Amino acid sequence: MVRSQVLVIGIGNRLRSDDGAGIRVAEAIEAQPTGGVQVVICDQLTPELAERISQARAVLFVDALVVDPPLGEASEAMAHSPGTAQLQPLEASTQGDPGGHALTPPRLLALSAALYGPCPPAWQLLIPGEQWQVGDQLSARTAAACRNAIPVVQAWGARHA
Amino acid sequence: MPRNPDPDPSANPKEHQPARRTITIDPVTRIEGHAKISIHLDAAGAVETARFHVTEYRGFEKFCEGRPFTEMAGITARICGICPVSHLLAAAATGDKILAVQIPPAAEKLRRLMNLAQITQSHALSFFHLSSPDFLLGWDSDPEKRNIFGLIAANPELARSGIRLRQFGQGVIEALGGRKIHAAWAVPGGVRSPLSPETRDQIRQGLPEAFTIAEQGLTLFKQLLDHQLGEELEVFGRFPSLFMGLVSRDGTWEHSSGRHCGGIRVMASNGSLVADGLEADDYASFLAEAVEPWSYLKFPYIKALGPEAGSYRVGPLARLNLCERIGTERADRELVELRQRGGRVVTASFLYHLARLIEILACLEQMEQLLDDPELTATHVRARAGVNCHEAVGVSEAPRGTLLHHYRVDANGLIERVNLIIATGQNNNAMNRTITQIARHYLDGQNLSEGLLNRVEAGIRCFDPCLSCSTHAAGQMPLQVLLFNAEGELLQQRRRD
Repeated sequence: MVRSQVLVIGIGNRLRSDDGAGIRVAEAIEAQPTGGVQVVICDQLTPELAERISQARAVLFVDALVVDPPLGEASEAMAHSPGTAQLQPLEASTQGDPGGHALTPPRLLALSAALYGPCPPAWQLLIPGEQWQVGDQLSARTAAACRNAIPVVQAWGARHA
Repeated sequence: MPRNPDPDPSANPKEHQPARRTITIDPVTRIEGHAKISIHLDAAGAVETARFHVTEYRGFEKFCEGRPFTEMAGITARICGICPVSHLLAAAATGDKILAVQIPPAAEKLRRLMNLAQITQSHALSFFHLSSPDFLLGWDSDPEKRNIFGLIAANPELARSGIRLRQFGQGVIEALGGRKIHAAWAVPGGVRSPLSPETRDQIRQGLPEAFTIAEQGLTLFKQLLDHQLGEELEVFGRFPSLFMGLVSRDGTWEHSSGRHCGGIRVMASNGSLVADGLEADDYASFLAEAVEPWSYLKFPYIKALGPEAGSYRVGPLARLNLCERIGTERADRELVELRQRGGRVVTASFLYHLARLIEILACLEQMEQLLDDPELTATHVRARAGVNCHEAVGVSEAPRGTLLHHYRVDANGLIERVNLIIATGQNNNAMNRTITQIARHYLDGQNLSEGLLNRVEAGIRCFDPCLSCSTHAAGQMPLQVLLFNAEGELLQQRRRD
């Protein structure tokens, strides 16, 4: 099989404040089309994405990350610095809840591999979030982290496309 | 979104509570987003009752207050990533009534098409991925392998077929609404965009494969019922109850409100009609909701009959019990077989699985008919008006059963009050009765075996509950089973995260 494209999957809920971070980054990538990079935006990972993953050359999951706020002086320092998105390689894994409606990235990769053959190399980019209440605005720090994440995704896409 | 792993477990004081205290039911911290089952024994050590606890809460009804009613379709669709279309359609139907308009015929047919696709994809996930590992691998098989990956190892083609069928349904939703999940396409007064002939033809191309997969699923499951799953029919929630759902004006299977809908029907297990032609607007006159302190999931019942006698089931099995026929050839043939197997009114909850497969077939046949209807591609798809009515109730059949949205708005169309009656909640009493029946049958002394845990879980899964919808909560459905003696002392617990 010829794997011609790289896949960026943005995950999140736009109406839960910082939970929309993954989607915002994916939308920004989609808005600046780059050859060979395909974007999928979803609220949760579902089994039918397995086939799409199997056809990609590389996959990047972009999601928000729940970070417990630090206490004391660390909190003061953190309030003035943007969160840093973490790009991490990801392995397929069958561990975790086997019976839910939604899948985690490692389980989705494992599903893809089990159904369609070896899955492509995968990464995740996790954007630290701090506000999860109902709302369609990102917190200032997460918005800054999203801005910082966009060139990271673009560079990743350029490496693998 | 994942949670950052705590680098130092000792930083979490809950981890250091004495073992006995960690089993304390705490709906806020330990089991948020989870379901839990407790089994209570009598003085003789026999199972007295089992309870399905849902300890999640999100409160969509509350935070929708103050929003324009026109936003409700978009907001309530966020209740669930699995059945957003159901909330979208119920919200749009409620909005139609607030505008006091009759939506264009093409819009009604397009909404029906989307609901059929939604039921197809949801039922496909429930049967092929969530339930069939139990049927095919066995209740007592290795729990590490009794899941979709075990299924793939045992029957990869079945697993792929399930995905393909779900993909087909999702593809139709995306083709109509522009997105697979949370497509804010149905709006008060109709839908945002018409269906082009090209997109209609694309949808049509997927039907032959979808029919093949649905038929294969039916053949497989009926073989299993004939040869392996006889006991489950008796034990997994077989009891008399009422059934409730929509039917069309001529008594055929119905899933949407609209010109052909004959309202809500309530039927008893002996086939007698308890009520028929009930209007969704009047739901408060015939439905009441009981609450229990141990669950956020309410217990709806038929008000005139009280919480016990008025307990009812909704969803695929209810819809097939309530209708006189489905109205399409292949599904009607299967309906006849279902009734030969389970009686005119099927009371075995285990046959919800078969009902789901029959409904998939019915959906595909109805989609085929709709796609042949030239009116489907008409371009007038939205009626416009202002607020003409301050209170309305919309209804739709979600995959899991009847879904009611009730809004009250002010003169500017801002929401003053919301009440959502969700399918999973309406099956709450039936789910509790089902797990009680299973626990009584399979509990060996005071030992909570893994096999029992799995059967109890599968009893719940017959109803394919969606806790996100029913409590409007975020989460999956890990299980914790607690066994109590007559003094209320915890004897044993097992959990599956």
